[in-house]
Amino acid sequence: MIFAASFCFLFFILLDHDFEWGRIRAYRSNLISGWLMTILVSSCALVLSILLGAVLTAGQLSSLRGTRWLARSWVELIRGTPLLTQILIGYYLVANRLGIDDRFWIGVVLLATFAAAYLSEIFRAGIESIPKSQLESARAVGFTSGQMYRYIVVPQAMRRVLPATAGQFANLIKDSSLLFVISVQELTMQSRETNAATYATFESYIPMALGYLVLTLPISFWTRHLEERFRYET
Amino acid sequence: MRLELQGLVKRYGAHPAVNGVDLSIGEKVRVLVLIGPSGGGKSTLLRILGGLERAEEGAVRVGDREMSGANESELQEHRRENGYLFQAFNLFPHLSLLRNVTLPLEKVHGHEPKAARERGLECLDRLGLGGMGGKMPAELSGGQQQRGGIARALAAKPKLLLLDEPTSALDPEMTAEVLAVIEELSASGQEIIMATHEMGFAKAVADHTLFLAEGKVVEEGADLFESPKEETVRRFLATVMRY
Repeated sequence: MIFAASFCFLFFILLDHDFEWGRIRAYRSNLISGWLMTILVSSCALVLSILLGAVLTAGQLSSLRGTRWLARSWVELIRGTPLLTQILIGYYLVANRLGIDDRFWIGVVLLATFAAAYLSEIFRAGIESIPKSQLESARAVGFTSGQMYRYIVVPQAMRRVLPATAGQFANLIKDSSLLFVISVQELTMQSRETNAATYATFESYIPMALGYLVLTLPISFWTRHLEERFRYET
Repeated sequence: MRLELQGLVKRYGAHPAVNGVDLSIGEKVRVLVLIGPSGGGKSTLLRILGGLERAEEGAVRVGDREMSGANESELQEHRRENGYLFQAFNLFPHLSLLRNVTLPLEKVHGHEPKAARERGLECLDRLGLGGMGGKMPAELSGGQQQRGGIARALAAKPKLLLLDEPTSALDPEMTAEVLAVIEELSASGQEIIMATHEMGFAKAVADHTLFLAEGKVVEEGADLFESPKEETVRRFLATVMRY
């Protein structure tokens, strides 16, 4: 009900507005480059987050108590604080202190660190969902524990976590919008600048929303497709 | 097969699953069958003999291998030399039947892929699974899956084949097809240790039978089915063989 009302409200506002696309024409290339930057920063962060997530997962499943505790605490620390807070602390306290000023890579690392904490939980759940009987069989045929993970556990877990991982990528794209606070020239940043220069709020922010949707909707459909396929296979 | 067990104890929490087993089995026994009530210690004993579990007390020698003081890599070596089959879910569901057989051959036993494939196909043929190598485990019946599990265990030419109630999750028809395979293996000279509830089959193939209850060997012998001495064994056999 509330959803339908909000939708109608938004629809009528849009209907009521007299769009003047000419006002943002001069900024069109900025918006496009911002959109491409969003894709680039999210993609780099995705690759890095998968690597970091795998390391955190290994840490959480480690037989060493200290490693387990460290990985667990890190995941809780990241999941327990807002991304915006992490960006502010990561940029103004950590990166500044280290004398690093490459906003793009700082953005990538901060986003990846954030996503990795969630991914590691997804990966851990995937690995723990493999039945004990599989591990027993793997031991019985003489696999080392490394081989057991490589050939038996990880390939099966990967298929199970693919939908959730894809969903996480959609989150990552949306979360990258917060990088405007450290002036990464991504879509939100460019849209805000366009708005500031032209006062054409609708014309600046509607394309921004569409720019994100164009990226996240296909992922969302793909995720749903993967979930259905997985349900069918099991 | 040669087995020497002395004062074997294995507990799960406070519950002793195996509680002081002594056993001496000589070369002339090829098929050893473990029978007895559920929870009597058959599976645990089999797991210890297969190197999947470590005994807490006592001495275990399987063939030339001293299992009691063995470290993990020695136990792993032991598992590589012998084949083990569980009640169900032996096959890896994400691999085709043939790959289930060839993967351990390549990665554990160091076969070349071509040789592993040939050996894999040969074993599948032998177990009546010729032409099914490309199927996924979910496409096979329970009986075919178990025969696939046996094919995988046999592929590496195990010294001992350990079977833990291999038919207890199967319907009668599939049970018969799996038992036929095991019977053929025993006839071909494969050394087998098998825990089972199939008394007729046990009687037919066993060279030596152990009756386990409450973690102890109540009675053992080559003619345990014909002339059980212990009252518990007599009662058990009378009950399970009544129908």
